[in-house]
Amino acid sequence: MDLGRANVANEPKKVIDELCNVMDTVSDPLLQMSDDQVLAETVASGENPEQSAAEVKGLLLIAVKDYRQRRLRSAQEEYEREAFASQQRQAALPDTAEERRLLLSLVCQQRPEIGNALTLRHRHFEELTDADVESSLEELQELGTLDDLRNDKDSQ
Amino acid sequence: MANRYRSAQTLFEELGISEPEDIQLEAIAQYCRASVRYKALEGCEARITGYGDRAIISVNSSSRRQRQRFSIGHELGHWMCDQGSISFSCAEKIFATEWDNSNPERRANRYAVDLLLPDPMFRPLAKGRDITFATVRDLADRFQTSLIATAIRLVETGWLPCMIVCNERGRRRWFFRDPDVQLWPLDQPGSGTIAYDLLRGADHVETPTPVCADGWIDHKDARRYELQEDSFKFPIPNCPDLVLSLLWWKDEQQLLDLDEHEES
Repeated sequence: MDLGRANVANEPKKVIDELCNVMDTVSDPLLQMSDDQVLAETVASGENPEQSAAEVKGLLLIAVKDYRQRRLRSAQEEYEREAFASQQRQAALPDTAEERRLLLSLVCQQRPEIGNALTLRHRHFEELTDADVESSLEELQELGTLDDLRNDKDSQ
Repeated sequence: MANRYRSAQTLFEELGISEPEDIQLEAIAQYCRASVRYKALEGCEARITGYGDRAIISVNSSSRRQRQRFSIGHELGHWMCDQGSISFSCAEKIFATEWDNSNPERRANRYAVDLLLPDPMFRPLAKGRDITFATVRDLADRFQTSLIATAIRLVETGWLPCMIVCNERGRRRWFFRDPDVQLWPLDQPGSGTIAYDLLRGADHVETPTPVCADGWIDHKDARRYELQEDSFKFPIPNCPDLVLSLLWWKDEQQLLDLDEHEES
């Protein structure tokens, strides 16, 4: 069977079945051999059994770790996608610092829990610098807070 | 609103993390729906804004990697431990001094230690090592985290009888001790200690070095014993005269004698 040319996309089940047949054919005689016979055959073929065993164990451990970390990998990919999208995004915020401050003040009125949290952070709303106001609004926009407020207003 | 708290250990099990190199903080935070962003920040090392089930952790892009990692762990601690919409802005001073009071900052610091220096990974690497800042620096490099957090974890591991004390001129900020050490440090280190000299302006003192225990320990028999002191200045913005000291009973006789004394 020419596995390299198999049309995997169209016939995945057939290919897997054929692979299983190959594995069965190879492994059946091997399973019937004693440990000593396997070792003798390995040495006869010029291989070091201990080294081969260590290599196989290493491969299996990598495969197990790879499986266990599938969620970690997926989260890393999601993080990279979001960080890139965040860099590309243009925040649709008011043009002037005064208007941005007014918008943040409106957000705090409409969502007192955010107002309380921001006040806890800075003690007084007036202490926020223009840069603080702008970056806080950018974060609230990314978190969907500004859209939620807009939707609330539209529905009223 | 559902409780979003998950211990560091639970996160490690869910994400298959078993070695220090696997502790990818950006991915762990993202898994907890807190996205990390690096940006220029003024007046703080990191901050977090949380709304609904999502948060953004902003980290100072110009800080050292070890500092950034501790910042992420600390802010994730806020996200895990403080419910509802949150907003915290955290300066370096908090990471160095907020270890004793029961408040959100201490909780976040403790969470960061558990996340960055998990006991099952840390203990085997700390075993058999001297209790010095050279050891702490080596372990901090391996775990890519801050010196203070690593030193606290080393002391708490309880491998050898020891203590870490943070002083500034005029008062003790905090201390941690190995669970088996039942002695208390003095409010201020006495003359004859390295920390005493450093707090009074000495620039460099050769450490670690043996010192008489009565300069450090509040006990009537302390003058009969000796301990190993490793101290250095740890200046940070708004706290220019912090001194960190690792105290190690290389000869455990003092502790054994005191145990006997207590029992008799």
